[in-house]
Amino acid sequence: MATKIDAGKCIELFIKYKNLMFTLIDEMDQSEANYGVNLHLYTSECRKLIKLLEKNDSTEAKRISYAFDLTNLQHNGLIVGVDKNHSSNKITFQTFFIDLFRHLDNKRVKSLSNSDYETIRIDFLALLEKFKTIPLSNDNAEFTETYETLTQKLTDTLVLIKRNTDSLDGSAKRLSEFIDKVDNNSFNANSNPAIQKLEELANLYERKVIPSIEFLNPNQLIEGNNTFVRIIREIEDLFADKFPKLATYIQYRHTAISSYHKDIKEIQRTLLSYYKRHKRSRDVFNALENVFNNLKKETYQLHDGKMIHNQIPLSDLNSVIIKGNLLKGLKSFSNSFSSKIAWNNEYAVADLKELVRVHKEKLNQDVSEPKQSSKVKNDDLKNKRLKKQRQLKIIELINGLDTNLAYFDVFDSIHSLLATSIDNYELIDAIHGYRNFIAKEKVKNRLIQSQDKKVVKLSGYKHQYWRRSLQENKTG
Amino acid sequence: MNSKRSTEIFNLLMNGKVINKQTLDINNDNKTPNKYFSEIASNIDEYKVHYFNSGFELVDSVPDCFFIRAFGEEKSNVKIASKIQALLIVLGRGITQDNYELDVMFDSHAGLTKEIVNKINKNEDYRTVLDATRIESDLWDECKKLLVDRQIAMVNRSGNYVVLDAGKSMYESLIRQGAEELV
Repeated sequence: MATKIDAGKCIELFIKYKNLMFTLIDEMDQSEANYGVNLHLYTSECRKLIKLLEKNDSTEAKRISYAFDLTNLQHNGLIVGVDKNHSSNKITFQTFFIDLFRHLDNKRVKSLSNSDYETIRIDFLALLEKFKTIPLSNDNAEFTETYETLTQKLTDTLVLIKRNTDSLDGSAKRLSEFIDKVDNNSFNANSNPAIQKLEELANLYERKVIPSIEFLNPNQLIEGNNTFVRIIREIEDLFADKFPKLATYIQYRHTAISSYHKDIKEIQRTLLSYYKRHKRSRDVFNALENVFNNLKKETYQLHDGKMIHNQIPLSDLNSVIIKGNLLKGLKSFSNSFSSKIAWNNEYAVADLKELVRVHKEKLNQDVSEPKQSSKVKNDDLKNKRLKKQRQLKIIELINGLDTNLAYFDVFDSIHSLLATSIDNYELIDAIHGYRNFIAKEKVKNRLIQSQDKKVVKLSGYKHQYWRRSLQENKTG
Repeated sequence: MNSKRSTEIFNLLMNGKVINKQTLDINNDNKTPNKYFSEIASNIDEYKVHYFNSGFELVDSVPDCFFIRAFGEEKSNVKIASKIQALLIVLGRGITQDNYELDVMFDSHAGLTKEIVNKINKNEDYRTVLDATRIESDLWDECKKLLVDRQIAMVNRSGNYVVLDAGKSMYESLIRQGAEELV
């Protein structure tokens, strides 16, 4: 038989390792169970703790295993029952035991729900009804008894409301701090805990904070029902004439209870921005879900054999992917497009046709011409070599230009330089040199485009261009 | 009109890109005002005339972005736009169903990760919808082609895709559409 450890020692150990109980209380609050703790969670948390202790202090580990054993807890009356049924699987602790741990950490103090408030309201309503039916006299034992119950109830309610306010404040701080921390951390690809906490916070806001405000609101309207505040006022009025002292006492208690309305309003204000964020997030979720479901419906209709290749036809103007599409008509990619090619000549089409005709003719000639002899081949190679040498010479001359200086007309400067420096100069040489010059990193960013259109003529050829100047490079 | 910027804008728009109000600073992942957007916004009438004379409509009706479409193509040229819309619907649904806020896509320090896009792509429902809307099997690559290459999204320093103003405006329109039907 396992060693028994008395209730006092057990409670002491539970307090020493209070995190275990906090985990259980958190799980219990999330599942909204009253004093019912998940048995699996309890066993696994105990095992974890024992394993951890075994590393340093095996005696303490043993003590914990005896103290936290279910039979021992039952023996000491700390748990009311163990339900090992697969579906419920709960252990029920004594209410005082759970409340003890809630008080050790005010974040875990159980806040009041709508049903708790309703119970309080009904209790006070019953007392009011009673006062209305019995003679209000100190000689009447029933009156004094009911009055005592009233004062006790007022004190209990005050304590409950105070604890509730502390609990709401603690929970609100805990959740908002957590969300802010998650928001500040980098994006985690696997989960988004902020959303889960926002959900929790929204529950707190809707189920706890709003009912608390409504309960304590002196102006709250409830159709057909008396609110807590109105019931108390009615009791005060009943006593006002015959028992003014009693009426004042009730009024003091009432004011003390109502004073928490302001505190809870403050908590509500703190939570409101998070609540709105959650609300917006829910709205986005629902709207996107709706749009997606419509698209999914359209897609799955295709599988009925209605459409070819199972693709939504682009002619369906009511389709989710077309209806209200803001980018309708967005231009397709044109990778070959370059702003440098400008067909601004009025005979551009005719020119292009002529170009194609000449090119085709040349191609035909190439096919019909006999194969080149080796001499022709050599001539070709020689021409290529000479061309290459000429290009290198141009580049050399261009590289000789000082890129830090200012040039009013870059093309004209290159044209003048090359015209005087190379034999059989042609306009194409200037174009080649110009392209080389403006491609330089130092030059690129300092070029200024002007609106002056320039024309250069040489040996029957004409070159038109928009003048570009180069600023002086003061840094370089 | 600034002629240098105008030329750069011309190149962007003619290549089917969208100009957003904000762009991503690749040095620090912060969003900064887009100089091209400011240039168009401050000379909107001139730019409209300029593109009108070239046979295009400069679209300024979508909040916080500009793009061009050829005249008469609003109804006939919907292939690209429909693919983008379908992709955004699937991504938005995938993200929110996975417990993320949609804003993650617009957050320049977060954005769409390859992991989450691949996770969406593995979902049978999403994939069926993507197939029916002509989106190829490599969803990450499709996001690049349809969103990044068109500057509806940009790549941040972590390599994630951050959806810019044009995409955000599309989501706002989709959310309005979805919410109206719910009422």
